[in-house]
This record gives sequence, structure tokens and C-alpha cells, in this order.
Amino acid sequence: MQLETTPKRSLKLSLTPLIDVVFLLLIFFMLASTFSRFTSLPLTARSGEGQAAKTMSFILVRIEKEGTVTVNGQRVEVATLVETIDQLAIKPEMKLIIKPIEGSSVQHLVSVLEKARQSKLKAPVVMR
Amino acid sequence: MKLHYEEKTQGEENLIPLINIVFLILIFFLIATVIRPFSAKDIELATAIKQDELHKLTNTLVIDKQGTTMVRGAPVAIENIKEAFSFEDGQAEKETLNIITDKALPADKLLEIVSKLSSEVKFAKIKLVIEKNER
Repeated sequence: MQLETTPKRSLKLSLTPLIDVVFLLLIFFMLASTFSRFTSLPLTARSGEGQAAKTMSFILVRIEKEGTVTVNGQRVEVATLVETIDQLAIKPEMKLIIKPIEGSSVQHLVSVLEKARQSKLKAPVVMR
Repeated sequence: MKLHYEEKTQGEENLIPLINIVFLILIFFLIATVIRPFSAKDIELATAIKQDELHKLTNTLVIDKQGTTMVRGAPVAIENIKEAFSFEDGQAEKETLNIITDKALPADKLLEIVSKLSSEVKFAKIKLVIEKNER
């Protein structure tokens, strides 16, 4: 028995809607994406007021104007901060206190915190 | 004098090479980039070389150069931070707060906000979002 076959129609799909959608996706990704890589830094802030003096010894890092750093009153370069802290950290229970004063910015604080976390005293406390 | 204009042929352009290129660019963006995790404009993050990897960026608090605190693009006072994040009772104690701020913000201003925050809401962790510097 011979079956009747319907002749195949050659369908020509329009590509315009596809291009529209692809362009939309492309524009979305171009605007919404970033090549920057984000990281985070733990922030432990303590208020300077009302703190009882403890017997625990500490190292005080002050961030002064324009990012100048002093460790226990001695001016040091940010690049040599890790070595300076390591030399002063004679006991592992010592606390590292970072105190930014007026005129220092968040970038200065981040740079010092980054160095401080590389030192022996890994958990610095930021104080107002 | 009558100029003779060449009649333009209304030939159908082949769109396949265009689609190929556009698809390639699209695939490149899909693979090579990440969606910007926050929408704060005009905020330049502080940079550091090596820090903790950031896995999830939730509960973001944006602080602009002037020290205005914002949650989801709207200015929010520190006192209303719990309501702004719509935390349930006891939920904040388990959450991490991610602070996004400009690198030019005075450090003492940031610490003032953080200490105010700590007295209002006891977050499990407070982290400062920074950009990785590939130096």
C-alpha cells in the first residue's frame, strides 16, 4: 500500500528575534559584570571609652595623617610593619591594637590591617 | 546634466557571521566575569593584596564618602538597621554584616559607625569588603 506523504515545506526561520535576545543578554552582561575580585577583611572595632585597664601587654599601632604609622610611638614604614610587630611580640598573648586618628582614611586602615594580620599577632583590634 | 545613479541592490545580508561573533562575546562574558555583587555607584573600594576569599555577599551596608549609611540603595539610620534588613528576633546574631565603603572615607568615621552598629545589633561578624589587588 502506498502511503500518502505530505510534501516537506522548507521553513525559513527568522533570525531577528534570536539576535535581539542575544544582544540584550550581551548588553546585560557587559553592564552588570565586573572583572574585579572582591575579598573581605574582618573588622573588630572597640570603643576607646570605658575600657578597664588590663594587665595584658599590648602593642599600639597608630595610623596618623596621610597614613604615617607609629608602633609604640616609633615611626615605621608600612612595608616594615610586619617585622617591627614580630620583634615586639615577645609573648603570644599580647594584643595588637590599631588606632587610626583623624586624617587617616579607610585605605590606610586596610593597608595596616593587612600587614598586621601577617604578623605573629594575627588578630588585631581596631580602636576608636 | 543628469547624473546616472547606480541602482542599489537590495541583497539580503548574511547575518550568520554576526551572530557567531555576538555569541562568542556573550560566552566570553558568561565565563570570564562575575556579576557585580553590589550596585553602589561612585564607591571605590580599598585594595589589599591577600585576604580572605569572599564567598557570599549578603547583608551589605554601603557607606558613602560623606558617611551616609545605605541599605539596598536607600539611606538608613543606624538605629533602624535591624528593620532595614528585616531580621527576625535573634537572626542578626547568626548573620555576617558586609560593609562596602569608599577608600577615601575617614577611618574614624567608619569606626564610629561600626561601634554604633555593634551597640544596636549584635552581628556574628562584621567584615569590610575590599578589592583584591593583583600586584
